[in-house]
Amino acid sequence: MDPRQFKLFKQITLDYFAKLAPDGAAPTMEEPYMQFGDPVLLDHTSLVEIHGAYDGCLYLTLPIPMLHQLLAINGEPEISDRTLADMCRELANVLSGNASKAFGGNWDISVPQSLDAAGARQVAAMPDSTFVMPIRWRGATSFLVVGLTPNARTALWNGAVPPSISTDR
Amino acid sequence: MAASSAPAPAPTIGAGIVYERLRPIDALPSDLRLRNLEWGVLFALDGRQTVAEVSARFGLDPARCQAAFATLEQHGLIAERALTRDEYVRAMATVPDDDDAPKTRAAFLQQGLAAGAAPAADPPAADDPPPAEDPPSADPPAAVDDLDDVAPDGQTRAVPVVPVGFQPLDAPAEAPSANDTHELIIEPQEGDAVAMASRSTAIPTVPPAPAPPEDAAPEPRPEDVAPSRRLSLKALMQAIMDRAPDLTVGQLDIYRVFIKVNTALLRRNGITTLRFADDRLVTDPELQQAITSSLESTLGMRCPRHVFV
Repeated sequence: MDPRQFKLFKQITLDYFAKLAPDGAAPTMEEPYMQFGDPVLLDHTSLVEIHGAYDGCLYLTLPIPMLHQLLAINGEPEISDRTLADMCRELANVLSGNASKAFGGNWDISVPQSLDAAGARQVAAMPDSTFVMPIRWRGATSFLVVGLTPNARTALWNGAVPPSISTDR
Repeated sequence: MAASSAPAPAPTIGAGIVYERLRPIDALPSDLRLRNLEWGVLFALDGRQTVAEVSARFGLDPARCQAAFATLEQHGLIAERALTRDEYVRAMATVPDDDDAPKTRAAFLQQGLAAGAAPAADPPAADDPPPAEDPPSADPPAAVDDLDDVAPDGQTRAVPVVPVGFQPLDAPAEAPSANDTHELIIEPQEGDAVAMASRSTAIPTVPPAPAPPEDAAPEPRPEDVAPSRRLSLKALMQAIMDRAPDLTVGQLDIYRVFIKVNTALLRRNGITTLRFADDRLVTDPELQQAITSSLESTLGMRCPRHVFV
């Protein structure tokens, strides 16, 4: 994964939250970490699968309170399963757009999926090792997650840094 | 398969037992249900660590951990592994003493010496001070005074020696005490030839346990008790960061290295999450190998020596 693309993806995701409420406190990205097994999954998850130098997925997982905040900011007074589902679909579309903007060209990006925690666990592309970036916003924490697994293409390089994920120093 | 239903009374599990999984984790039934600790123990098993070591890893009361082992064994998920003599000695050296401090193998063997001297009493730990009524003495004549089989003509002498080959490397060397004294009986022979033989006396000379079989392998070497090299993940991650132009690239590089490391292996070593500033000392050679191999194949980077501590 090209670090410039990765940085762009992070930034435009943060910007999405920042633009929602320009008068409020800006979202902050806390220290990232790696997670092995049992991927972090909150109440709702917006996910796109990606295929390229690696296979895997990008997802944003949020707690219900953060979805409530998003609904309120978007002027939706009703909080129900329907409006929450709508909000999640909207987030999934945003995530997919961000991913296409950042990684387009090198990667195949699937249609976005909006999932609850149980549904997200069933996603075949959910990798064992994930790079987790906590986003703190309005008193709640969501997680932007990159999960990649080596694939046949990765194995072909056999010791060399694959050109399409070269860090391009 | 619901394995964590009615809890049965847990049989006593020896802390020195080494268990192995009877089937791979990924071959377990998908509906298998275990308690958190039982899963943790199951993942932690590598066929090398004793019950005591696994208990220590989880920082739990040994009784709780042993109950988890008992449950796993009752459900046919694990079984005790038969050990060689050396493995047995190594395993028993991990069993905490009354003071809960794991013993070195040398200490275990030295304790065995003491146990042979006074089978009715608890043997003192190798680093315990001797009892006040029996102060240590390196004075050979005092020991000779206790011998029943000293020749009255004085031709037989006893000198204290440290057990050969059992000097602990990971514990400070100590002067031999009365409890770990061998007697070398030196008997003048014809033509001034000197024969030496280890003799059992009132002071223990032969470790009563473990008793090596007749066709046993050679004596354990000192390096067997040396602590293995530990790989510092913090030092390794810093080395990767140091060659990256910025923080994000460094973190991505680290992640790419860990993508290729089997997560079951990481979790078996208690690594479920890893922050980039965290330090973990990896002692499992299999995991060390997996990480260093991935480092080389992913980043083309040899593992720096300084990451081993």
